[in-house]
Amino acid sequence: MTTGTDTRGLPRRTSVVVVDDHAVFRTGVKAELAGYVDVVGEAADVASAVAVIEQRRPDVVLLDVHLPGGGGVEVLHRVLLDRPETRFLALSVSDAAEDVVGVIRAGARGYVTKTVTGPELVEAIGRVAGGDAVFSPRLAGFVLDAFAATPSAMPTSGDPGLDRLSPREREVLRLIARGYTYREVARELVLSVKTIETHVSNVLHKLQLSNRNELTRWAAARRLV
Amino acid sequence: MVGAQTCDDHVVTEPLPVLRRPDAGRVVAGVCAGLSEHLLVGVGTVRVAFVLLSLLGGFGALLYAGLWLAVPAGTPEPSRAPGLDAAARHGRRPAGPDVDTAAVVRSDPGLLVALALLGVGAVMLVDRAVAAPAGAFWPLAVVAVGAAVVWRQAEAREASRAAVTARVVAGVAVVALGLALFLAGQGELGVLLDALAAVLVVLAGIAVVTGPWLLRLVRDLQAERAERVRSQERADLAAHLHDSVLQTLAVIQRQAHDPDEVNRLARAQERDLRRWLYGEESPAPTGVRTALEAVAAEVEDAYATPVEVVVVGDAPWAAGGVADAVVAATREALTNAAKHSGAGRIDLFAEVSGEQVEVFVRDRGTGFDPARVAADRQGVKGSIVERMERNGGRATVTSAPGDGTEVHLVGPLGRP
Repeated sequence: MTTGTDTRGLPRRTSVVVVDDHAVFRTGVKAELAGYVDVVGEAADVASAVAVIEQRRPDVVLLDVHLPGGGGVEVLHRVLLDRPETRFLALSVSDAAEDVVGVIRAGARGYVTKTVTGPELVEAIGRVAGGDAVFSPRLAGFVLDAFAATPSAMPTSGDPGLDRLSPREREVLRLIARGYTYREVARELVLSVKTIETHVSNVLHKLQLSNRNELTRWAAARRLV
Repeated sequence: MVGAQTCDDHVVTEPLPVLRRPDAGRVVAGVCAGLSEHLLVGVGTVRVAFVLLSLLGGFGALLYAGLWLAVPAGTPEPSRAPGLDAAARHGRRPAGPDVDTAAVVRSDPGLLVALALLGVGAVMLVDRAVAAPAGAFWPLAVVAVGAAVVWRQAEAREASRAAVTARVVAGVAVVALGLALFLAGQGELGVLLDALAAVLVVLAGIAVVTGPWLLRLVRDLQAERAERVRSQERADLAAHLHDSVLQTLAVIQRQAHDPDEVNRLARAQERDLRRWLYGEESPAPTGVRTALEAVAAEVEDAYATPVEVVVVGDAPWAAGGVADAVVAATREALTNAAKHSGAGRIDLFAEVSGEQVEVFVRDRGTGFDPARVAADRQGVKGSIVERMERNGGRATVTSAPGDGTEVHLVGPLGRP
């Protein structure tokens, strides 16, 4: 997929902090993002990441999942405690369930793997900066897996709305898992892109807040939490 | 996996086997068997030598007892290059000679009985020969049984620590009871209590003096054990990287002129490393998920086009079944996409529920007009659509020129 330009037409360029312990990777990302967003800082471990984010207040933090000093989850915990408005996009070579779901539940608004192309990354950053969620096909697959199974058979705790996906949300996630972009999903379902973004954000919200037994058990089976 | 050569730099000359008392082939305590392995002498020769030595005023028996005490039990682990075991576990190397140290646990009640009888016999012998005071036999027999229990416990290695402790305590208690009975029979229980008090005081003194040192010894031992575990893990890691990543990098350097081949190698290596790092504990070996991943890997390798695989749910897979037909049709769809679409990536999404398996293969390549090329696309018609229909499923191909292609497969499960 090549979109080439940031189609969101933001008034000013999005400011980004890149947190990754591989200098080579940071350099590569900066080169790919040059001209589309402003990289205002970078960090290689948890402590310096927290400091840089505090100092720079970026729109979006590109966060590696595996970091020395506690991992990306630790950065999320520390920063979101004081600045819950900070938006994180997780970026990792790992597509293990515990990594993906772990950072999302810790508060990241999206997850892409490092094989993502430059234009895709720019678009994902734009989405996260705009307050939307970014789901890769794999993350969508994980969510479908986690929220699968018969909801009625499960004694759920708390808000039942959080514990299951609506048929529409399931439809959207299945299309994302099939490799569709939001725009293509919107066209397929004859909805607006904005509606798709709302659905995905709702799913993100459920993933972060659900106490669903099934989700916990599913995550534990994959050595999570 | 590329190249599974052996690490020549790790090969060392084999020293004499370590002196151990092996579990296999022992008659009494394995001293003779161990010696014969250690000295590379026939076990019969060693046994005859011990019997002959025993005739010299019992020297052989004493030597045997001494070795029994001093030589640790168990089969010596052959020293192998670091990480080889790990590599063998992952099927990268042929497994070495099968050394199964845990399998042989001797819990033979017959041996215990024999030891007890031996002890009783010895006590009776002493009873007669030394003309010990009457009534000394049974207490001494109890002592012998207790001692036998404790000694047996020193042999056991696989039992849980709590069980071992309990049995040792029980054995010691039996010995103490026997001694108390013996002394009480002699009317010297008061002396015993005095002596016991004195012994306790001395023991307490020794504990105070040597306590810190013993504690440090225990901690050092624990630290050393942890270090050994860590270094074993490092060795596993090193062996894996050596066998996989380093070999692949070497091949890639030689193939640098061929971008397709380099791409293929890198992708295959990435897949392998991912499976190793993030692989789930025990993927069902014959599940639909595994089968689809294998098919995707095959196509990736063959056409150097990455396939993103997302699978939700799983179901058993068997050759010849509906799931098998779905997997075969998926392979065909992936192959078509990789060969004809020109897309840089193929998305494979599969959802397995109780009743059916559904697969989507999507590419963003050139696409085609299904109405126009349906006749000559035998691959699509025969291998995908008709195959699915034969198995009670269906296949839909959606495509438009310039818009890529999506193949949708549905196979009903729940019947053979």
